Amino acid sequence: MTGINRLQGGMIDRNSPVSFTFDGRLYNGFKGDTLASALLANEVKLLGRSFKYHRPRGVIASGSEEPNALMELRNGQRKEPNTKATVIELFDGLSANSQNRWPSLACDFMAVNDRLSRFLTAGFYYKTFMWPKAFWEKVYEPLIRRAAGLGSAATDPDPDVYDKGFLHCDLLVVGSGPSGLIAALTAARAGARVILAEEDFELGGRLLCEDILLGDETALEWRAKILAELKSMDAVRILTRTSVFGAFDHGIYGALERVTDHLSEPDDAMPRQILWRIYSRRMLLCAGATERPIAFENNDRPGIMLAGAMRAYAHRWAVAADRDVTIFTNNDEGHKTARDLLAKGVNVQVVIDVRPQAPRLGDYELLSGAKVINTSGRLALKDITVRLADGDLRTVACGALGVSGGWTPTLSLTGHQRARPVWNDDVSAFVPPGSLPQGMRVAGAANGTFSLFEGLKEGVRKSIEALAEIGISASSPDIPRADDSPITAEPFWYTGEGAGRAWVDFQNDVTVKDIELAHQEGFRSVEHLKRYTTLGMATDQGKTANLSGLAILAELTGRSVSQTGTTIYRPPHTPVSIGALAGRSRDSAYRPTRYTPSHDWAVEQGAVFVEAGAWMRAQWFPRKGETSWRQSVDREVLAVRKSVGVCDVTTLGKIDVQGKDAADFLNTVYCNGFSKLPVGKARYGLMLREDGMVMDDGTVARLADDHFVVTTTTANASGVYRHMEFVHQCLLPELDVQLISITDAWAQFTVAGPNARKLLQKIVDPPFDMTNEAFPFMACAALTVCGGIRARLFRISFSGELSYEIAIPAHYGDSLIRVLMDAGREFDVSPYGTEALGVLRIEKGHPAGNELNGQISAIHLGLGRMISTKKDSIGAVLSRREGISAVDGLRLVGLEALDPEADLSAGAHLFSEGARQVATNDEGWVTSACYSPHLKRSIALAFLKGGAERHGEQIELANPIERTALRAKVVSPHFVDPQGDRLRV
Amino acid sequence: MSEKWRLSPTVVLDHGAVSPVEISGYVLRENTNHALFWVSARNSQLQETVERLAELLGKAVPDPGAFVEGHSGYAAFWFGPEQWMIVADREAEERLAKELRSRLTVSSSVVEQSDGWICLDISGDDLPTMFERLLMADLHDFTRGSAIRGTIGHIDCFVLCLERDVRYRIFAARSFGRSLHQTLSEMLKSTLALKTLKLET
Repeated sequence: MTGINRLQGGMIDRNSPVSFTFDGRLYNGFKGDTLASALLANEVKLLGRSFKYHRPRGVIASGSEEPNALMELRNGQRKEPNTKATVIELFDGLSANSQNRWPSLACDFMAVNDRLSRFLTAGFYYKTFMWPKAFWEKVYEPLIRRAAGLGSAATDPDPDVYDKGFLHCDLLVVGSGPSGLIAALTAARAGARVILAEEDFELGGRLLCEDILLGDETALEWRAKILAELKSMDAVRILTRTSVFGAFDHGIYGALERVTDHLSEPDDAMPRQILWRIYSRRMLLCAGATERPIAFENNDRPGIMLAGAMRAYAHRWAVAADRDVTIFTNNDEGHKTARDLLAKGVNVQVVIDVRPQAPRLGDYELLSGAKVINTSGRLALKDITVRLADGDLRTVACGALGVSGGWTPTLSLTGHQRARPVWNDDVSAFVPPGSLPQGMRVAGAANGTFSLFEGLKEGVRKSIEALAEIGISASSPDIPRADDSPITAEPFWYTGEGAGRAWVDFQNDVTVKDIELAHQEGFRSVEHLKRYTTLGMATDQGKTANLSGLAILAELTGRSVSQTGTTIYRPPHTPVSIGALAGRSRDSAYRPTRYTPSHDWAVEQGAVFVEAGAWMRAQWFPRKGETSWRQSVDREVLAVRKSVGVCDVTTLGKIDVQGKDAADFLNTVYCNGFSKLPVGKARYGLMLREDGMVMDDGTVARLADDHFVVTTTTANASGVYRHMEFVHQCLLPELDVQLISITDAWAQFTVAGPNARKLLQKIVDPPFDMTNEAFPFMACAALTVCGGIRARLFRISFSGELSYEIAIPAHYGDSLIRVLMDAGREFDVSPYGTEALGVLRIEKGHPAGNELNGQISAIHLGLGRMISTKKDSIGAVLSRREGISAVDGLRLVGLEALDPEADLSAGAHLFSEGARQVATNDEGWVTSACYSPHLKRSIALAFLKGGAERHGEQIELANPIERTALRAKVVSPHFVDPQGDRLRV
Repeated sequence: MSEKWRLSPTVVLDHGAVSPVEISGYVLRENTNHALFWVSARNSQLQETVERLAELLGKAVPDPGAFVEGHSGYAAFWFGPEQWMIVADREAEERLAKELRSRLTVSSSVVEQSDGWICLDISGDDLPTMFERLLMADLHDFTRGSAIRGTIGHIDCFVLCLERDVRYRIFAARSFGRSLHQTLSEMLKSTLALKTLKLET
């Protein structure tokens, strides 16, 4: 189809035709068009269906305030619902579909709702669907959601990339209308770093939509001149397609830049959108104003739109809403539209002005003191009914009606920190409050300054003021002489005639009747009105509706608009996609991955990996012929028990603690003592929180009188380091202690099993003596290996076997694992992963993350005697609370499945034999469970009430989730070598 | 016996897992030629530490947000309150270790950190624009000697400006090296694509 409503002129590129589809039908437009302007040019007025009543709807605005023309854009994974046709930049191949209709836009079966409107008033579902109660979730709510709604989102993952970023400036100017442009120029000429943000893809704001002069230049000429200068300045950053959606603390603003939404085939490397956090020293809001409609019966038919939008379509996009247009207004803006449309060759039937003394700006018929009271037309406007000043009725045939109820400053950002705007009778609108967010100023129409000349002056003045506050001296550029007539509007919100519905909020189908009903039912506060009627909610946030709605409420309650007030403004001012909020933190990049020094080697071995925090750890190392993970893990466990195994434990947190008070410091953060730990020895340490519960455990090795190395669990590495820094900086600043993480500096491997010493002896440089006598259990030393490479050796055991942890500079980690495997071949050495590590520690009864869940004390673990009474330490006092130390309280026990084929599982709850399995009889729970290849049956660690005294007892394990009930014998948690002989050989 | 077994160092981005990125004048590569020593002043020893380090560097120690290049190939960047990271070429590691030991015996705690950090060098035009989508700090004002401790893609790191706008050095914990490299290389490609887009429009 061709653009039959296309006029001459405009800012479209007629040499760049663009094809697009709407509801599957092919149309043509031009580069520079929006989807809305292109559809209007093609005489497509029906663009959507309303939220609740499924009323036919067309475009009413020309910007982001549009409530009606919502589209599902693109297809497949890139389908995006609820996009506004008025801001969608046309590109070749664009595919748009209407939404919330079935089976088609012209024939929507759900329009039956409109016939049932008397039953579907505000809050109807609160009253109607009360019985039976159970039907609400399963029947009523799904039905309502299906019948009323917006578009549907893509169900597949979003294929696009989104970025988040940070910008810094002296002055952020939001809005590039006349005030914004001249304010930015003022600042830029003074050498300030300026960011000029504009949500449109063209700069200029209303300059693009008006036939006006600034000095001797047309609006477009003046705009081009200013832009050329701004673009030539390095310190000016111009962000088009960028919506500033939130004002946050300390001059920080959130902005969304739509980078590739206007491209048919964006480069994969480009972000679709960027969420900017703008750090501004000062901010100037020049966001203009939004025209508001007037409510009258059936004021929502396609073809009825804002008069200012009509003017914008005509001037900027060379599009007439129709060839026969009528205007309804309460101010001079409607007359400007009539004048400009006439000049463009559009037939203006009549201008209806509620003011008895309305001016006439052109050669058109003027009906003063009249008002529109009804309209007709099923899918598009056909005619309007006018109540004339003398009381007579008149019907006017027209294809489009431009309505102007006055202008509302766009001041949402001024209220994001809870300031409320104030009412100004002079302009019949709310204007920014006296208390603005820190560093913010407002100029131009956003400040209620509707005169162009005054707006220019205000932009300059506010810019100079803002810069002066930050020590930048600026002077005024030449301000062109421009129209300085203010907007004179007579407050007029609705005609109040007729029994039908008059829409206030088009997007949520809120009518004057709904507001009256809410008032009748006792909703006096504007906040309550909003929530009861949904006025001002959804994607447009009521930009065209809010003021009319609260003005009508004010009238009903007998209060002034000022007394009624507004709802609170909250970010975001315009919708922000979830993808942009996430940025690149999604899927595999949700968080960074940490790799161990032996990772590449483990990959070569075919290891199966598991995420442990941010770390990627080998879980087990399958060998040829092994068909299940259990086979691999059992083999690895037995290799450690019978010969020797090697496990990369680099992931354990490692903290270097130095200073002459280091021992005193550790005495405070650990519940057991360290001041007497000899140099060259390591000790198991238990760290408590203030409340006495266990925070973490690990080993502390003393390398010198004033030098310790602490290990933590992998999961708590950063938490423990942070805790120690807190204790040092806030609780014990007087101590001479220095802390630094060395987790990444050292690759660390456990070498465990009866042949561990023999293996390590092959690589340790002489004369280091590894005999049991010279280097006994819990010894530590600095030494060299493999001909001079410095290393640290700790004789500590997590498995219960003869075991060492050898640490080496991380650069040598990959090489060391290869050497250990080669050197250990004669012992049939086996690498083992985290699964075998877990089995080994369960068999030995060592607590780990499953046991240290934040609710467990040292006493629960059977380690109560570790809490030294000879010194104070964090958590020591509260660990002695009666509730924790009770003899019949929870204690760590071992469980052995009575049935060798049974699988005990973590999470199962414990009950005495025969007891009814209800919460009141619950006696504890299983924390860790595994198959023990050593014992050839399933075993577990558990917390059991009075467990220390119940060894030998049989107990029942209930697992309602897996629907299992098993029996087990209570035993010592130390399944293997309870005396610890094997680790001391 | 240990003579039979030899260890060889590997770098973070070794094993062909990732390679230096060189696209359209931008270069991102791992710099393996660095030795790092963390120095923290002991209680009441700040002045002594600062003086000893100044002797070592031939310059005053850097303030927050800065690094200094001293003599003998030594450099230092501010690490935290009363803490600095001393940097040298890898071949100077032993020499630096000895010097630190001899100068800072009593006044400071010293920990070798050479293996704990990956060092990535990045060069190309207008890099502050790329860093806008990585780092909260404003690198447009950075000149040689500026440094910042920040976060890139959730990874703590230090960014040092070696040459305004065009050459930067990034230190981050070794285990995060590959993720950091991936983040930076993706952002380089993205920056190039955006530059192309802006040229077209």
